[in-house]
Amino acid sequence: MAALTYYSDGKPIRFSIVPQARAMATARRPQVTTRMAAVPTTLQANAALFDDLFETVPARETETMVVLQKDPAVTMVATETLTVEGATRAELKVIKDQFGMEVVREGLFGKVLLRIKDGGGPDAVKRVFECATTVYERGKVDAAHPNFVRLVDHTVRQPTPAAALAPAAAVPWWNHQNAGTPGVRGADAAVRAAWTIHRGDPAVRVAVLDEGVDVNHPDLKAAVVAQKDFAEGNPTAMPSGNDAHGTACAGIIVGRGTTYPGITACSLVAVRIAKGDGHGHWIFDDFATADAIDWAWKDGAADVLSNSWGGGPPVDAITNAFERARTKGRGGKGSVIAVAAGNAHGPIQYPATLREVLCVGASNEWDEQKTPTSHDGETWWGSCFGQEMSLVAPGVHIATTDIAGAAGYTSGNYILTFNGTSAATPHVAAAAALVLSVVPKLKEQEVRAILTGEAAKLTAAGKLDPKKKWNKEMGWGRLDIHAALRQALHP
Amino acid sequence: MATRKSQNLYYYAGGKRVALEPATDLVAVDEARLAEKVPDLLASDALPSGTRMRGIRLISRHNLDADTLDRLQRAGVTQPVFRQGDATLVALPEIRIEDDREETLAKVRQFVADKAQPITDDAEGRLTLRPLSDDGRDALTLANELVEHYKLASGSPRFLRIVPGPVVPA
Repeated sequence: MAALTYYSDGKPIRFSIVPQARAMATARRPQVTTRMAAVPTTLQANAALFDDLFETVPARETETMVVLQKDPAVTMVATETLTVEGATRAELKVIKDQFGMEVVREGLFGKVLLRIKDGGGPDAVKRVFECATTVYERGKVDAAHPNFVRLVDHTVRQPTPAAALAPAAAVPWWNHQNAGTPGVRGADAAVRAAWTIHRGDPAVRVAVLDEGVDVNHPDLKAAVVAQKDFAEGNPTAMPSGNDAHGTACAGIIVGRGTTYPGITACSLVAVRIAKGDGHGHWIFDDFATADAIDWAWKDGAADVLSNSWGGGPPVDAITNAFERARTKGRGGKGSVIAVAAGNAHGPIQYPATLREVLCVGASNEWDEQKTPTSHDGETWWGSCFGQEMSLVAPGVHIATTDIAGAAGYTSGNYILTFNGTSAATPHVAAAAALVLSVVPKLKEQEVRAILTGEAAKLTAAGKLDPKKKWNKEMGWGRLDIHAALRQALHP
Repeated sequence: MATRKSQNLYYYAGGKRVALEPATDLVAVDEARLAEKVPDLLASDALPSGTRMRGIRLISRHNLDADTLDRLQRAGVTQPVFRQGDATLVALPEIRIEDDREETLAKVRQFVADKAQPITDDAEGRLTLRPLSDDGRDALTLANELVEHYKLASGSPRFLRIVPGPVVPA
């Protein structure tokens, strides 16, 4: 069979069939995670649409599926289904008649899932590709592409040595989809895969409580729906001087840029609670911080509160405010609270010690607990750990927004090496926002249960834990946003 | 009025005492009180700029000459500074009490009225007090006294908190 082609972002993508390999439709080999990958990934997919594919696969378990190879790192199983976007009724009829297809489901945003009517196998796959190409070239649809099941083998866990230790070798976006150079393939938050389900609803609001956010940053401005400065009473939540931490955190969650996009298209509530003292310390005021938390869930209507800050002893004013957010936010369903564990490689810091918040530790490209000796090479810090640990998320070499212009961490608009449990926490906050984007009715504790329950169960050394137990270094495991969204949709 | 003799080197959080260690190497100058009582020091070179927030200027003691330190202390324009782990806390002259029991709050209102301590805010389930002395030490003492006497759900002075900043990116 000749190479198969379809179009993604206007460019032809070619595949070859692996003639000697076939996959059982229900193939879920032990220790292999099956992920659905949208093609092209830049398109916002409808959850139900893609889930339907999974629903159809078990129904055809007596058949074998065609295996394709695009990249040695990725094995893809072709299906007899096709997604079309923006087709008129007339065009859909032509497609059905010309290629013998039937509509499986109509999704949101003008997407339609079609399937070859008369069975699977190589011929059906070929017809799907032909259909995708023909329909796209005819120019009467926005997109037309085959659906795949993508197999990512998490058992291949051989660290890339030596050169990978240099920060410069880090690959931007590894936290979204880690190809394993450096690190371990699949040691990521499964953001790209999650985008096949949803990019986030702007109606869902995430509050970033930090040392201010550059609310005029080109990548953030459009996301800002509310802001307030509780540190100094300024009219906006803009940071002072080089206080770029909050801008970096916000970019991870809601960055609208295409160079280093954030995880969600949700909205930002920027809340300034602290400022740097110019000597490596943060100053904040307990009561003002408590008021900021209350403002975020109440006036800011934040669904999720991202807190990349902490340290020092507990104080009831802050504890009580978090509890109000958790129980009274979102009209009583509760706002989800993510808090950074701390970077001292010691006991977890307050307020991440509070019960019933998501205490977030940091992992690296190798799916290890971030420690001063982990493979990433950042020897000057390690993720805090302890009995309060909920889960970990990527926390090294994170590409995100920096204060625009000369101020901030860099002289440009981005930083490629943001780090810490500060960087990990916005990943979890973004995940919660995506979960609430697909199932808004979920209660706060249900969101927490989904995120921790669907995390990839790992040991501190980055090995898959066959017993799937909690441990104090990784909590319930490394964040897997795609798995969380699937669980939210199909509990 | 609360007494400073009680050596309140703790406060309450989650119903438990949290121990505080005086940070003798730091001086927290209350700029509002300084302007009122020792105005010539405000713009004086003898008083380093230090770290500033919420009207507090936090200065290393070794950056103050003996005469300036003496004037600050005699004028009573400093607020207490504590250490707890790697955090530095400055107790400010304000107390926040939170309790869902209205009858308990009513007793607190009466108690502070008897002592002529002003309530600056009285919202649902929450009282904010400010000691007449404008002294963080008195706020700490009064907060502890109220928590212990009325078994309040929560009550503590307002702290300015200085903690290690986030890890610096590579």
